Amino acid sequence: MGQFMLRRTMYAVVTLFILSLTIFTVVRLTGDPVTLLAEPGARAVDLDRIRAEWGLDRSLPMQYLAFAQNIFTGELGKSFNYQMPVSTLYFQRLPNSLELALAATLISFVIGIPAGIISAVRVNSAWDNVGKTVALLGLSVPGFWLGLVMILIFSVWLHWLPTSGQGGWQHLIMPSLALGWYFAASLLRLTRSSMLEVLRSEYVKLARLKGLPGYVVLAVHAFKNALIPVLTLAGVNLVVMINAAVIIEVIFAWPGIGRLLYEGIFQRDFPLVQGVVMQAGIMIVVINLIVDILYAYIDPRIRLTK
Amino acid sequence: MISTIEETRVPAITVGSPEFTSVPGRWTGLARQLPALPLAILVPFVLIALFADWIAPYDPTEPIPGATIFEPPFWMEGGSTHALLGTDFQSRDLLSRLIFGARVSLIVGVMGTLVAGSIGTALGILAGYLGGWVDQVIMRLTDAWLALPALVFAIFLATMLGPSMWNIVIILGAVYWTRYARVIRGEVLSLREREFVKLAEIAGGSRTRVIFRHILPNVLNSTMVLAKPDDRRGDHRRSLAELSRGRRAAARAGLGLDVG
Repeated sequence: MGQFMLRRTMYAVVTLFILSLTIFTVVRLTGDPVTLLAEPGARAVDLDRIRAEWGLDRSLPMQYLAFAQNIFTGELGKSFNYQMPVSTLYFQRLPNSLELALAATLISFVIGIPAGIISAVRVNSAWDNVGKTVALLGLSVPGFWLGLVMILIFSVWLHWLPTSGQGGWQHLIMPSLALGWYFAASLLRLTRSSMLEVLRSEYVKLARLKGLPGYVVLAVHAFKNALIPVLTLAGVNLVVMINAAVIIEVIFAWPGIGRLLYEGIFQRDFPLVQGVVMQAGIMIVVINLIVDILYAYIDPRIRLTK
Repeated sequence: MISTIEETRVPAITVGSPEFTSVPGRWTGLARQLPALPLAILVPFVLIALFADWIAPYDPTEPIPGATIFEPPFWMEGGSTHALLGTDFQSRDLLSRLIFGARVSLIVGVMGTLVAGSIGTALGILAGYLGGWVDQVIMRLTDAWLALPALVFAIFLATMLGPSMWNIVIILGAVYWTRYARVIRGEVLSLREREFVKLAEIAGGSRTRVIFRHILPNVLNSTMVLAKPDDRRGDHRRSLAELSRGRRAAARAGLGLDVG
């Protein structure tokens, strides 16, 4: 077990190293940020001065080292535009993104899990087909389209909900629905397949043979075991929603991390983009690491395989 | 043993022989297996994309002579039937632009899936079959790229390469190959231990031969499944539909391909 944990942790570190190299390289391929930082028509001397000020005149390996150092100190570098540490900006926006992501997760749970269970218990029934249709729509209707149509209907025509921005619960309804539906669809499908697998297992058959009532078998024996992969997916989904709900946050002018990232990309704010992506990457890699270790703890067979 | 197999073998049927043509319901059976509803939706799109030049009433890139900008569709006040869906900010016909857009979307969706599937399948096979440090390098790269927010990555690559149709295909391939690589590697790991692969190796088949003749045909099925709009194991496999969604999202962000 110790060896397994060590190996997995090493994999995670290597993955984060490759991620940092990738994002470092990719942001630098988008162009020169100095031209956007200076006023148009600035003299070459001034451009060089700005470049030196932000350390962009140094060699690439030196710039990477500075970036790596900033990751370790937790500051994640200083944003060109905001002139503030990226970590400060990130944690300023985090509560907003968390609010939206939790609401969307709630919606995806409320739609996805019950519908997934009903679909699994009544395979090929009308309910199953309704569930499949909802799932397919969720996966194929683009979030931005859904968002725009909802704005048109509920804000412009009916005047029920505000078009955008953050505020009371009314502001939260449309963005979280637009974001949550897609994830509801994937949760529904996973719940359904996971439940189907569990329902075929021996211990569920045994529980039925013992004469337990159907709902007890479903709720206590089947659902609890089917829930493990579902919760894993929900955890990863939550991280993705917090960090990368770019389109939805832009459409609904939601002041979250996705929009911060979006602004950073267009203003070539290297430290901002690098920092946010690394923060998201670390969260995803660490969650996966914990899940891997937990699985290995529960199921010893996993420890033996590479 | 062998003789019984020989005896029970069904006589070979060749095309053109009486047996072939007399098999009842051969074609009707095939027709019944075709997915009617998906075809009914997809075929019109493909036809519109193929024959866009004949169907579209106007040139999608040129303003309609005499038309004004932002004309509403014909059923709304101020709209007219010469531009059924109205005009855009350069007084170009929206219907024609939609029709030509179908062509771009289909090419990008199909080619993007093909490129992503090819890269992912190739790397997955290499990682699974060769193992060792090749496997380690490819899988750590896959993990790292999976942790990148896909859309953000796509926006980056688009600002870098500039908006053009083939660049978008390259971008989609570069972003979405990872899930193919992961699943295919897993399949290859178990295929590698199967007897027919072992026997092929013992018979002196080179690595290339084993990969192309024995491994590849057996994983293609999984590649196809991954390319479907499906999310069975919930690991956010990007499907063809989602690929064009990514494209539309990029287009919204002002980086997309402008038709014309």
